[in-house]
Amino acid sequence: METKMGEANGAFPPEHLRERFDAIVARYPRRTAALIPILMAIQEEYRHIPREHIEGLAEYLGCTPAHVLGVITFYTMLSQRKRGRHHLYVCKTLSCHLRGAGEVLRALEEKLGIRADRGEVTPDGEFSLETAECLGLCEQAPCILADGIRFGDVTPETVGRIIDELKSRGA
Amino acid sequence: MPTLTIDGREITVEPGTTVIRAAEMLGIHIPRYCWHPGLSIAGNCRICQVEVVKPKLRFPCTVSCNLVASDGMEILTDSEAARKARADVMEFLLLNHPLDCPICDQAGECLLQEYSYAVGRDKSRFDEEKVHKSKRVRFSEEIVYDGERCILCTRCVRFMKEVAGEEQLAVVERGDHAEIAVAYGRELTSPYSMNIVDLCPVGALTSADFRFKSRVWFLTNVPSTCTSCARGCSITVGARWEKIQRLTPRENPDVNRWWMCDHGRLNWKYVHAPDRLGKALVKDAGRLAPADTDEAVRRAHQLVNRFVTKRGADGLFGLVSARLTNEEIFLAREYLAGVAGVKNLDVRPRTGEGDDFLITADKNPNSLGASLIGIAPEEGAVGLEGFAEAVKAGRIRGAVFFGEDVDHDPEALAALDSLEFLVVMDYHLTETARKADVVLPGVTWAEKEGTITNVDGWVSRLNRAIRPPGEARPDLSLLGGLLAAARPEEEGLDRPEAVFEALGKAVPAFAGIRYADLYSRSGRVAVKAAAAAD
Repeated sequence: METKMGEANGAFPPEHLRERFDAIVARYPRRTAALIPILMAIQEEYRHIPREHIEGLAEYLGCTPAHVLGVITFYTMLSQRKRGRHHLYVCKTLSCHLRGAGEVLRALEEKLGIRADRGEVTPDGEFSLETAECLGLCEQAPCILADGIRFGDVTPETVGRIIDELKSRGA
Repeated sequence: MPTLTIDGREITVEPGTTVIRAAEMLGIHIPRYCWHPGLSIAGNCRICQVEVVKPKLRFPCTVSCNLVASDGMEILTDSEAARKARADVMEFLLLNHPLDCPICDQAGECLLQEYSYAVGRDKSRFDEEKVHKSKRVRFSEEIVYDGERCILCTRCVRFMKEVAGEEQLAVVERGDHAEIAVAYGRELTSPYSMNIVDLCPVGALTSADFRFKSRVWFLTNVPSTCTSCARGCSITVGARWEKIQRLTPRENPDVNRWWMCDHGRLNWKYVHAPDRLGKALVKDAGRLAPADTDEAVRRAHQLVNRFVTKRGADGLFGLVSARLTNEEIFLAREYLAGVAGVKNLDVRPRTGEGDDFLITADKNPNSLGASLIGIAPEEGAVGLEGFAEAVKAGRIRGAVFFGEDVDHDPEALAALDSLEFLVVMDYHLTETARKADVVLPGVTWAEKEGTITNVDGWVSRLNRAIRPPGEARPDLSLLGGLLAAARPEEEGLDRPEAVFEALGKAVPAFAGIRYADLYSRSGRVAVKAAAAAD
């Protein structure tokens, strides 16, 4: 199902997300405790955390913009740069590294025409790449995590199939 | 209460006391970056590690800032293991540090230098390219941040959140990319922000005002008291080339703890303004002309004396500044009320914004001193408010302004033209002083010694940090000169200590405070102390 991409214009919460955010806040005893779940919801909605929302979010939760910025920049799953509809984490920690994660990454970069270390997105906005610390799938090294799906025993030859599968599942 | 030994010395402390504080009580300094007595415990820098001999821990060393003293505990702060632990921490902290000490403002008062000197290595084992981070980031107009020098102790972050009450700083990013930052488009707006410059144990946060002005080791540091409001925060004046270079807060548990406001910290430029009086002025053929100071003092007394002899003291108005010291106000009162018999005495009130922390709405530093010593119009007498009208009505025909002006009040200023005589003592040439017959060249707080009484009754010392310009003299000496002219038979009184002693005898509130005790801490006046006890 194609999610409607609301444009970030600074008003917070954006009208189409208000109900969802209010429900998240209601789950916690203190408003500020909802910060990470709401950031993840924003990330899901916009594929990044738009800078214009930081002030509004801080006010909405009763904390300061500096505090929000500290949290956003601490967690790698939250990005201030817009990601593709499908975001691939390629594990680069020891087991995967020894089992050829480097070759897998290079194959993906070549196939998609983007660089992981530059945070690039394919021109059609479909794919982006990032290296990750251990994804906990060492017995199937090298591994990839994308759209919440784990792919194990990846080889440079099989990355094409992963991309096709992600495409066929939509975003 | 637990009893523990630190470096073989026994001490009994309140339950809950941390080892770093217990050591402090014994006069043992344990290195620290992130720990500060005025902030919460972060425990992130690890430099305060000590060896815990008893109770036996899994590792011999742990941080003393977050270690609560327990009965029978045995601590070694300078054992081989403790020194090794600190040396290892130092090596990590300096891995990516730029070591740009020659151009760093913190050099000379940097804790990285201090503890490197104690336990550091002479060579770095790190031969890779250092991590590069933000340089010269403006956190506000007054505060500059250098990310590469920062050791991420978070003292500044905690100060903003816990003391300034505005969480405007945060650690952003992670690991060796982490830095301190303000939010996008924001800057530090707290009136206490600049305290983070003093708090920063390294050269990461520097004052835009003081940056590159002087190496700190060339400063002459004089303990004094801020005069920008009635709080009277204890400060250190750093001076060089007979100029103030910076003011920093000085720890005083009774008045300002470790802090001061940015306004007070930066409010010293007027001390070096071009309108300072370096010479006495005496009116000659309708124009003020430079004169010898002693001659001007004699002339001033002559004017007062002639007027009182001819017309009596009821036509004389005395304005005494609540910016003057207790001693000066006391001598001003001795002269005006005691010698001349003036009943029309007043101060010029100054008010502005105050807050519930340090900044008071009263902008005069010594209002309480002035009121305790008795600078106020007597019943039925003329005060500053009725001054202009009383001049118009011919009731007031002469005036003496000590350290004060009426530049703020056009009506009072205009009224000065109708006076038969006006004597002004001030440190600069105000509009008021331009209308005087005699102008005595006084000095600012930075050029004199004395005491002021803050809003809560704490009496703190001013000390001379720089030389006055030209022939200007401490106001106390000018006032002593007037008194000497009036009472030539008496022994002169113009040394602050002697005047303070006389003040204690004359005004009971000040009895019991010894001047010599006030050099680096405050004493409290009796009335306020009694009021606080109620």
